[in-house]
Amino acid sequence: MFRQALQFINYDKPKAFGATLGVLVAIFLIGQQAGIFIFLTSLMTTLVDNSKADIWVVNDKARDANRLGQVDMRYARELKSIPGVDIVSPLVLAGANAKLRNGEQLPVQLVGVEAPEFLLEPWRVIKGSKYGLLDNGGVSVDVFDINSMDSLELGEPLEISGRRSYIKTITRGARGFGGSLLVTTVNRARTLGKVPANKASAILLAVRDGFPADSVVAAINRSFFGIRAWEREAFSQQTRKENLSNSGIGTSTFTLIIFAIISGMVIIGLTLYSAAIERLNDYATMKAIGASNGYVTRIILSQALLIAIVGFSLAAVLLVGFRKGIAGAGVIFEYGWMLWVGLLLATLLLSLGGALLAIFRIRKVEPASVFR
Amino acid sequence: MPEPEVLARLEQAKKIYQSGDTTITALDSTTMEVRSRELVLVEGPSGSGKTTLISLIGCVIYPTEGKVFVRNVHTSGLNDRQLSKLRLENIGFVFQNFNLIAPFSALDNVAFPLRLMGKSGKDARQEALAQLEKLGLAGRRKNRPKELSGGQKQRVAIARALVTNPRILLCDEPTASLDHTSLEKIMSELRNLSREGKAVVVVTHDPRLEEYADRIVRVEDGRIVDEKTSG
Ligand SMILES: Nc1ncnc2c1ncn2[C@@H]1O[C@H](COP(=O)(O)OP(=O)(O)OP(=O)(O)O)[C@@H](O)[C@H]1O
Ligand SMILES: [Mg+2]
Repeated sequence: MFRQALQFINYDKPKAFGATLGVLVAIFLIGQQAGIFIFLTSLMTTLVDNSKADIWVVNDKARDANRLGQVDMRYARELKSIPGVDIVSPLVLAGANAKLRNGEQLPVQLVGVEAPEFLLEPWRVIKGSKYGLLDNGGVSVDVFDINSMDSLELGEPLEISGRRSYIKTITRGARGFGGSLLVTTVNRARTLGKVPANKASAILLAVRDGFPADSVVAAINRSFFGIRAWEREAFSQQTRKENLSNSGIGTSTFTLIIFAIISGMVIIGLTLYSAAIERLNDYATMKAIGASNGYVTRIILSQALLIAIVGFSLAAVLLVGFRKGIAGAGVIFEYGWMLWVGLLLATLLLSLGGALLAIFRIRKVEPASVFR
Repeated sequence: MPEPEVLARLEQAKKIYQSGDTTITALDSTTMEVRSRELVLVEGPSGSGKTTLISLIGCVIYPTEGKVFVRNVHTSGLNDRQLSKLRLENIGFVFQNFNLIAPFSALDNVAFPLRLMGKSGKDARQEALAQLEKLGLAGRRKNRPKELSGGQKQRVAIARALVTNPRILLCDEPTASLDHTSLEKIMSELRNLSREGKAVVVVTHDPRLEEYADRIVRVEDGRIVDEKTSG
């Protein structure tokens, strides 16, 4: 069957090439969109996902880790008394302006974390360490957030809210959703971001071994008003949901993927159809000799499948290249196996769907037409 | 010598083509038998219904009226799959314009019906090669139809019709592009095949073929107007 299909493909190379290109372009576009989508959603939840906290305690109105509001620090003391709570550590997020030595200005989000617990610490560190943040004026900076990234050195001074600070930790690919993340200590974040000492953005908790996080969360939510505790994963999901429903990123990605599938299907459909029309006589001959409709259908499907496999493989190679290339510019994400399976399914959908038109036509061919 | 066996039969079979408000009676009610050990020649002017007649025998079209039997099977009740199988197993076609499958090599064209019968690719190609050898075409097995001459295409078409060893062989103008020597060779081969027990039906305009026929059926205007048994 595949041998026969291959001969048909071989006989009309331009059309086979066209259909393969259709698969390639459609799948590449889908993969590209999906990659950007994965990247953006990972940014939305990056603070939560990269924290070591088992539980995030936030203002009870907060539904998004990027817009936390404030919680009163008195809860921090009270939370210590909940059974199972091991570490209690405030997190302070605050907007500020940074000015580099070369004059470059950038809006930043200060992330104040408490040492030495570090329930949230700089990730993807390439130079220095989190302990550098304890030095006077120490902050972390991500190379991708700074235009003049080549010259970025440890110890380099920068001005935040008019105060002198020093780059003590350099990360590569630890980026925020809104602005550049600058990790520093809680106290320095309060000072630079003008956050009162009795307020924090969230209180991060680590749970003692042997205590299930969900029952600690339940205990907190039973005992306190005005705050709400979330398991880390639940808060991550909530944040993603909130951002996707408010931002249109989800719908625009989804629409683009649907359009890519439709246009890919149309290209492949028309190409396979016109290839089938040109070979109508051959299919009629096959039927006259004794091939059933099922057999000629399988020949068309095999052609579509071969084209799909080649198109998908080429698209996969390009996507791997795309991922690498864009990672060099700081857009870092991974294609999980589920995405590859999804792309493969999309490939099959558009190539087999595209084959339908040709199949309907071929099934209608009268074997008697060979006598004309 | 065993009695000849009726391999196909038309009973009052009629074929009408309807296109718009014009009705063409391609073949009027016709009763005819095709028997083993017999080479039947079907003659007649262009458009008289010769191809229609053998298409009915070959079950590639259904009669508008009447019945068609192939090896005692009434074909009207068969579905697409059953009819395809009946054609594949009992009937070999040599079409008027060869109708080789363009993307396939000569060898794959001949192997195709064997593949349909469920033989492995290797076996099918081996048998097909033997058949091509018989017709002196083994050297062109890798060529596609468009790289073959008219006569070569015709011989590939004949090889493809014969490779399944069908009981009924239907040939529509099989000698049109053959020179005298090839014609003689092919016709004697067809005659031999009929002697081995096949029914061979040959449609032609060519009076040179008459000497090979056991029976000559003359068709005019969609009707059998004359039928004579020779020898
Ligand atoms: N599918 C069709 N639709 C309409 N008319 C048809 C069809 N097939 C054949 N005919 C008509 O039926 C008549 C008989 O055609 P047929 O092909 O049997 O003739 P023929 O004797 O084989 O002619 P030739 O020697 O030119 O091959 C012709 O008038 C032809 O135009
Ligand atoms: Mg004809």
